[in-house]
Amino acid sequence: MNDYKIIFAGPVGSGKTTAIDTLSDEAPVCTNQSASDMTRMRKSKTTVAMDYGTMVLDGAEKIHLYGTPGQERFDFMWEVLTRNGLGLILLLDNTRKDPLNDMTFFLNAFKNYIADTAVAIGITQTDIVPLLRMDHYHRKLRELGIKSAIFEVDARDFNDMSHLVQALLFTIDPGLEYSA
Amino acid sequence: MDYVLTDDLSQAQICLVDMDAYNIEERYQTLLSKHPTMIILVLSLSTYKCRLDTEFFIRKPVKRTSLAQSLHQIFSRFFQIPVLSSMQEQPEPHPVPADYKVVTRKTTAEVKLQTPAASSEKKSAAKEVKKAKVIPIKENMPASAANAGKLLKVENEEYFVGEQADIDVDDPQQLKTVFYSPVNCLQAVVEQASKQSRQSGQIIQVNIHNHEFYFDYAEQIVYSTVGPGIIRPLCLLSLDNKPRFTSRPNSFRNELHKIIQSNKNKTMKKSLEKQNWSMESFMWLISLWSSRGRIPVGTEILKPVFLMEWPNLTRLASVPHALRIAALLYDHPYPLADAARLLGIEQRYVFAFYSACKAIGLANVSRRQIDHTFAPEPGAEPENKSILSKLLGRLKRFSEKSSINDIA
Repeated sequence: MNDYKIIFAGPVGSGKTTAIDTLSDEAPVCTNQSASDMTRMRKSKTTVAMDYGTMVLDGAEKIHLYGTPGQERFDFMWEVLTRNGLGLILLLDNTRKDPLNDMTFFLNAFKNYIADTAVAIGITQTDIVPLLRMDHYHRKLRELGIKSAIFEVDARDFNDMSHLVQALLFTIDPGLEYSA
Repeated sequence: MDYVLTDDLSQAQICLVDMDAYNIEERYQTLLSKHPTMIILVLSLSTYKCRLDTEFFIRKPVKRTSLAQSLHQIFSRFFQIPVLSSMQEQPEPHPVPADYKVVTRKTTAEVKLQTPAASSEKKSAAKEVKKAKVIPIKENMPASAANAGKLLKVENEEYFVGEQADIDVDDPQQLKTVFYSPVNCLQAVVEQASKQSRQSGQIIQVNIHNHEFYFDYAEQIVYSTVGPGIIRPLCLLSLDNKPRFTSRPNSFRNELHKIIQSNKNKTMKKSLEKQNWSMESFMWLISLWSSRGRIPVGTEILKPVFLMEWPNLTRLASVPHALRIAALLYDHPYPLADAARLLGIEQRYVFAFYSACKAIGLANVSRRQIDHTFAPEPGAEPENKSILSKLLGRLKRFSEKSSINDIA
């Protein structure tokens, strides 16, 4: 039996752990530790290895949901995690200092993976400090030459996260049909 | 006097027709040809000139007492029921559902409004009168007007994409039915107000049919004194009375914020209609309600159309199949009918999606010669197509369970 995975990436505090919790059938496995670096400024605990959740499909096949740690010093794990993945969900926190720079960094870091699969981008926290509007992100995407769905999302909201994952799947194949 | 509603037209004495309903002219003519003697009570947001002796008109939003008064006058004239003068002095408390054909057949006993002296006489007269009943204007059609006062949850897709049937794009007769003109309608007013607000940096107030709309481009918000129950039918009206545009000073912005916050609090607590939107979601919504599964007049339907960027679909009113239409048109330009065929869906979904995307500046007809000359190569099927389909099916099932479309 084949199992498949979707990778959730993004900077610290962008909502990866929450998104996996929202989508996962079972309580996700989190490797949260008290933050000891600059991360502490944004939240008390952070993911140091990865988050993990699953979605069980009919036929007992599983989709594994992996969240990468947000700090760049864990980037050696990213390549390992992405092997045989279906695609990338990139979450960006709109309240961070420079979300466009975050977007550039992560799209570049996962460039090869995106080229082989697809990416869908979710912008979180847009209701808190709407410093950047969606057209800023679109403009940046065009500059980077990357085609991607990009939505405002609340990582706690199943419908928002479902839309994002569906957009990823339709980007891979717009002709996909819903299977019972 | 009470009226009872019937779904059997042959038993009806009066028929209520909503002149703002979709494709009503044609259906109204059919009704008249089949029932030439039927007494008609026309409802509309704009003035309607009665053309027949059997036609009567009430302006929407309809008040309960004015409806009762009109019905009673009609009965008095055609069925010899005495008019109750006291009815004319009653306050007008609640609107009634709008998109319905009300067919009165039999009134029951006299009711609350009669004077004691007239009681016995009116009771006996009322016994003679038959019952009435309300039915949708088209049998078996989901009656969107049933939601006129509580449009927070929308489940029937016709609400957003209409009922336009698929057409043969090579047939000029069928082609005529697929276009709509936003000119001189609410959509054009909304576009103009948004543009004025962007250019002036001020809040633009627009008055239409005694309703107020406020457009603040800087804050990207729209506020209206009415909700979707009024706005949706307004989208189909030709605005004969010129809307009035007024610039409001920047100091008004704080007041508007307070009004919007107050409205948000109210709609969260009660089943009240939403009255404020982001600028983009409002223009999207108005376009859907105006197009109803059609495309703007002048669209070159045989030419490929492209999607510049994905619309923010988590924050916009949902068009069925929007995600897959977006993925297809974003990947490569296609003629609209071809897109529907490739995806195996009805054209109205693609037309509605395109019209809404065009309204917010995300889609247009491709001018690149290469898009007209070469059909795109079909992409290779993904190896794991079956697992992707299963995942899609699972997400959809779970989304449907928790779905509440409160964007409208």
